Amino acid sequence: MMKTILHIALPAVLIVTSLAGGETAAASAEPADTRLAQIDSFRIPDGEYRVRTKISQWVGDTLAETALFDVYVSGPDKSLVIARRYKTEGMRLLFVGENMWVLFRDTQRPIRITPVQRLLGEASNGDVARLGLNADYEVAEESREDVGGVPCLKLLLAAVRKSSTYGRILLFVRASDLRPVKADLFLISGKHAKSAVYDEYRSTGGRTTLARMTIFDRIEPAKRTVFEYLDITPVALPDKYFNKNYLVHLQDPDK
Amino acid sequence: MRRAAVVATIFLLTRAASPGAVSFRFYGAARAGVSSFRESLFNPGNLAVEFLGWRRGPLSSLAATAEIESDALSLHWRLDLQGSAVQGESGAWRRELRIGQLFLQKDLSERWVLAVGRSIQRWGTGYVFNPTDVAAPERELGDPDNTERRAVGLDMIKLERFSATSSLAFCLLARMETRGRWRLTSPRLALRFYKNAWDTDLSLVALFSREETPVVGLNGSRVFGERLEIHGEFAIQKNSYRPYHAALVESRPESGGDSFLDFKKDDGRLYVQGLLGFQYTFPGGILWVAEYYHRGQGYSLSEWRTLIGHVRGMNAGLAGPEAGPALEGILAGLAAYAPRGTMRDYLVNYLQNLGTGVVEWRIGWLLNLADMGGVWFPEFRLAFRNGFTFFLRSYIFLGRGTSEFGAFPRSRVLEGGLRFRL
Repeated sequence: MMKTILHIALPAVLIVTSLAGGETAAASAEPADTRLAQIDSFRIPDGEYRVRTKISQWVGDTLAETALFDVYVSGPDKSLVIARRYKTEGMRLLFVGENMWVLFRDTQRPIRITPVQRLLGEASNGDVARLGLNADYEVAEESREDVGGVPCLKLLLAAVRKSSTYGRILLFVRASDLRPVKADLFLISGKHAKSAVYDEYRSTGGRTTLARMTIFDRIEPAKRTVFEYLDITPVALPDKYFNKNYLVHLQDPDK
Repeated sequence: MRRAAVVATIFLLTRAASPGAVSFRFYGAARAGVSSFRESLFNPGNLAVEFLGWRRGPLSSLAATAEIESDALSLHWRLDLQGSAVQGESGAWRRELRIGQLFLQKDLSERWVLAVGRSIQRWGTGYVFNPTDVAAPERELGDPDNTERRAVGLDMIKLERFSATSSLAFCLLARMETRGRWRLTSPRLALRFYKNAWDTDLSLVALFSREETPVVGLNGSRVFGERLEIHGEFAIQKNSYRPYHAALVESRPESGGDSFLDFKKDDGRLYVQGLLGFQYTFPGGILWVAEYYHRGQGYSLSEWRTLIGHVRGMNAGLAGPEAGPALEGILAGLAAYAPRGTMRDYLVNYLQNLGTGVVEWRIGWLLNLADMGGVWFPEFRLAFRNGFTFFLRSYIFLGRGTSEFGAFPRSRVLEGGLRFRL
């Protein structure tokens, strides 16, 4: 019965909200892929660059662990992560399309890892290395909802790639400019694993970019992981840096 | 002392050649362990323990690695110095200092990379067994982290060409001998062609040498969904160059000669090694790794039974002073602790929590599928934030009296210690 009601009511709600006036209507009228690209623009610039990311894991008010990573991004589907300060310092993590490998400093063999294998606390490998949504997800459903009094678009993003970190993301973006506000993150199994709050932005060179994001554990809400994007610098690496066999030989691009 | 001076000189020279940033790491472990022995086929009346001077313990060891790495002047170099002090069965300490890795790497262009020196190459996809690791030193599996008893690399010149999704590596391997004069012996050529296709890692490997027939192998690895990874390896070689107990040779001389003979080195048969395994991550971060391993060069069940019959006969006559060396010979030859095992078919499973917290644990089980004997290896770790990890682990040998692991003199090993990383 409830399912039937939803089938009838949800499209009606969507139609009504899409007819709402002003800037929100303009935003939702754009094609889905353009909107995701615009949402991504708050996290990442186009092209090749390095994002220095600090991750802090908190349990209640206690700082449990911190880590520092350099994330080298090349286009929408390649990224190389080097752990600068972490319990596995020197660890290298490589994402290429659907593939992901890790090389620990003490070992000589990159091993394949699966998207759910954790890196630190509530931050998965994908959380660190996959910065954009456009390449991995598409808008499956949308509606409107206020978050803290701010009119938002509520987008249900469905994974389009097997390597996507999450199966679904329920993303709330400001209706006025598509700036991410918060998200609920679901595994492929459908489990609601984490929630994210995009809680600080900075303005640099006329662009507004995400400066801090907090991820909350759904099962243990006292646990949270804070991502701070400290610095974004243009860095172009040769193709071999994105070949898993080069991880063993990798010449540090920062030295 | 002379070796230490040579190593120190190498370090200073490499350091002087690299004015750029140098990363330095120092890690290792101190541990102590006790063994429980049992009367078994290879230890009748505890004779092996008595004659070979084995002790229950505790026996201690200290091992440390200093790892120095630098990128400077478009050169990359790395030096791993391994030092250890190990208390032997007699209680005496044996100290050793060795170069685990020392190589110089130059990126000749955006595609070509040249490396010269001693390095460890791991080309396989398996976690426990690697039939296609043709350019790797024998793996030392005593420690899952491989930080205390690290393998020493092989001396080589390696040239590798990279593209975005493939690579082609040529490794000219040789053994560097320094006694008397410096020279390179036993040259071998190892090749690997790697390609990532259909989101699958595929590698074709080959090894050519003067002493043995070529080894050709293939390995692959692929992730399915968000939790499962499947990998496999396959290698084939004509003839077996492994030594087998002389009891398997019907025409063996009754006295004299070696106990172990490589009598299959010209038999013209093809010997296959294969591996099929997976890793699966359960919710909560519990990792399950399972691998089936077949080694065609291993003892068949009938060969094992022949050997057991021989040992039984030998046990009946064991009393004199020759008993000790005879037992030692058998145990050393069987290499019951050897990573590749003695027989042909094995299944290994282990579960561990992925190390994101203070408490880490792991429990593994290696099963010989021919005789259903096995080894359990549980481990518990307590990780402190300052780089120290306390560990406690055990090896428990189970099986019928005639099985590979049931016949082993040790029934349990319990060891604990402290790993450090500075």
